[in-house]
Amino acid sequence: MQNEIWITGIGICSSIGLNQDETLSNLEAEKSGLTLLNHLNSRFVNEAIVGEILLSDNELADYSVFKNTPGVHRSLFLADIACREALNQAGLSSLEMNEVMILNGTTTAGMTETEKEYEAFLRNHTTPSSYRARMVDCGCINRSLTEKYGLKFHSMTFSTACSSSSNAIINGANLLRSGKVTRVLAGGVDTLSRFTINGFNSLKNMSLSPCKPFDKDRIGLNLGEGAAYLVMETASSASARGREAMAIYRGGISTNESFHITGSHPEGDGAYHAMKLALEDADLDPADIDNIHAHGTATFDNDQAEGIALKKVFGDHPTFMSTKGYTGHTLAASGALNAVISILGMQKRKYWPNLGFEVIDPAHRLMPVVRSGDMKKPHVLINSFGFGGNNTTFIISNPSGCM
Amino acid sequence: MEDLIEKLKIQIIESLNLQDFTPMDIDTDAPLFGEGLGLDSIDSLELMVLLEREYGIKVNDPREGRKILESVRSMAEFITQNSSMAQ
Amino acid sequence: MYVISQYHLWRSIKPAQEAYILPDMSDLLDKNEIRRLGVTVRGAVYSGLKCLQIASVQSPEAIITGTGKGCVSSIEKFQEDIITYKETALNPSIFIQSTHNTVNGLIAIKCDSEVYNTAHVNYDQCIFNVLTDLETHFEQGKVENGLIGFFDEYTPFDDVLYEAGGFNSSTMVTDDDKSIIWSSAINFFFIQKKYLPGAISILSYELYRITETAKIKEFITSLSGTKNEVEYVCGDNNTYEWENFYLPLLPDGINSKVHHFKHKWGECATSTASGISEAMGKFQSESNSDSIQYQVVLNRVLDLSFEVVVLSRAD
Repeated sequence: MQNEIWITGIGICSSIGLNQDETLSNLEAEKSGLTLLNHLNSRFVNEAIVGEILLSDNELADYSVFKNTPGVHRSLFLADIACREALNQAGLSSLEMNEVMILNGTTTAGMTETEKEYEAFLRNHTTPSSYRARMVDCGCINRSLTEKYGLKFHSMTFSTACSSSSNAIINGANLLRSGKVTRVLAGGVDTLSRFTINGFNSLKNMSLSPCKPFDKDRIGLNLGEGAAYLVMETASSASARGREAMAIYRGGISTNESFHITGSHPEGDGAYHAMKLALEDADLDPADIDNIHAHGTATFDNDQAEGIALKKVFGDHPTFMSTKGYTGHTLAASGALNAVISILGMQKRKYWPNLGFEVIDPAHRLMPVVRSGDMKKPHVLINSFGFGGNNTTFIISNPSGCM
Repeated sequence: MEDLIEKLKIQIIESLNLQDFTPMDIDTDAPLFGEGLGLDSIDSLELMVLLEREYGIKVNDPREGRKILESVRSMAEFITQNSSMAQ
Repeated sequence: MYVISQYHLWRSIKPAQEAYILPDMSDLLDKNEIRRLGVTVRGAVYSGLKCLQIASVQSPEAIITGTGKGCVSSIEKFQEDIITYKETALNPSIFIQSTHNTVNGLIAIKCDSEVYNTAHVNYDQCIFNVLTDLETHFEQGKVENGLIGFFDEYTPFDDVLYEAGGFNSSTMVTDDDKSIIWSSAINFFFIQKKYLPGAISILSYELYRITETAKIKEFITSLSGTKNEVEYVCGDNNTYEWENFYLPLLPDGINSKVHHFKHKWGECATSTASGISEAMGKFQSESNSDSIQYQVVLNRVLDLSFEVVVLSRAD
């Protein structure tokens, strides 16, 4: 019990809400946050469907403690909003904050500003400001947050594409188990940028219409932006502070397949192994899992591979869904978003439907949930699969045990 | 058509950086994917970039693209039928 | 942790106008495999595989990399093309290489290796994080060895950025140079949990704020070993950085036991890895006295942090 890993705070922002309450409200209403792209300097404005937070950078700044900090960028605002929600919920003193190590997952970091600056440099030889010059790398988010909040100086940032925040969470848990750290703030953030929209468009796996995860006629993903973080600590550390667990991190694995640099193994071998190893680490059987929060990006490759793998692990009728139809694919943040949404569901003993699904895919003949329902068991399995073949699965549990 | 086929072979070699190949090494009718040149899905996307930049033809669905890119000849035929920029 | 093998590229800094030159890679990579890859991705994949080959290992049990900004030339090229082609007809290969774990994925494919495989991108803290990550895996009995690697890529925009950020920048090396020289670097190491004769042990690794000079000095002083047994490998450019940032941290009168490395290797986020490669070279060189038991790598990256890595002969 004292070695259990407890989640004592959660924070989230995405196109379906700037905090837990707004997010929950939209999930309950089964309301999608997908819209036409609004705010970028891009030809995809009013053309591509995305999960955009419909606030300009200046409007987002009003929600952030970094509002007047020179050199800031959109990712930092989103990370700050979600991190502070989680930290506030965990109820930490400033001394306890000093012991928090942040593990972050991101692919874009300051890209929304960097791409503007680089263009200005190419066109007019304009040099970036001194503040901006220090915010080009992925680690800049951690540097800003650790200084502002008074967190541990030593922090980690992962960039493994779509599985980045899941790697942050799984590594956070491993570090807690090792005794190297007392508590962690683990999660991830990514924003919409011209760079990533064009990148995914070049791969021709982006859909300009609302995405259809696991549907036979899916044509690709919708990008999204968001941030989500968990405060995780050992049971003994949390109890000593008089805190209870919102959820328990049961186990997980980060692994890699070696099939292709962007495509998943068509028979889902990588996904299958990740799920099996995660269950092993959590000391659970497939029958113990009532709810699977899938990666389900609505690309042809991912959903085929994941569907086949789900069938191999869980049989013909697993209870699974993807939430990409609500938030879009938030890339690095997606695993952490899945975790927070799953915890919100756990608190209500509920799961919400997979939006966008209509027709069963003959590749595996599985059907995700199309109506909300009651969680009958306490465990949720969460998948995130990234480019480069990086496959992560982790399992979180309702601390009340049997429902 | 033969001039287009020759030009295409040079463009394919350049676009995919097939350093050890000359146009003579590419069989006009052989499959580009799987056997033969052994190209993969990323290569097919790169060839679709070639079609768009050099011939103004936009292919949105990668599966449709694979049919067009079956061989150099199928590419040339498609370009002849669809492009305002082909000779 | 024992370093069984290492492989690095680009120890000598090139002026910015010259391209970074790759060795003949045909022993491990054929032209078809690398034809779509940029210089740094090729170099990093080759270095990782070469490191494994030297260690006679087919497939490592973990692959962990660290990079400050990834393959920047690919990021820049994609951004330039977005402008040139007005957001149409863009090359996916370039976008793929801008992903920080592309090197990881390519090594995994070549080794047919389905193991723990991740990319750390916390800039100056990468070496500390990668070593922490691997060591935690060793301690938890998850793996017995791992391939770790660090790569960073210089582009001319670095000079613009760092000039703007308040750091001097230069693209030419001279003896009197007082500037930071931004550089590409690739350093890979194969590390094993179990001792092997001839291996170099990573005894400890520490991360400090640059203001924690008292703590750093205390740590260095606490290292056991007589003066004759220790050499210091310092990440200064052998001029003002040495006097201001490194000399005050070291025991008195040790000038003869110091090697500077940054004027040879250049600066980048993962320059501590270059220091480790330099120290490994010192252990292996014939002119190195057998009495040298420890190489202490000290490296400060910009005004962000100070890393100390202690290497020792395992025998």
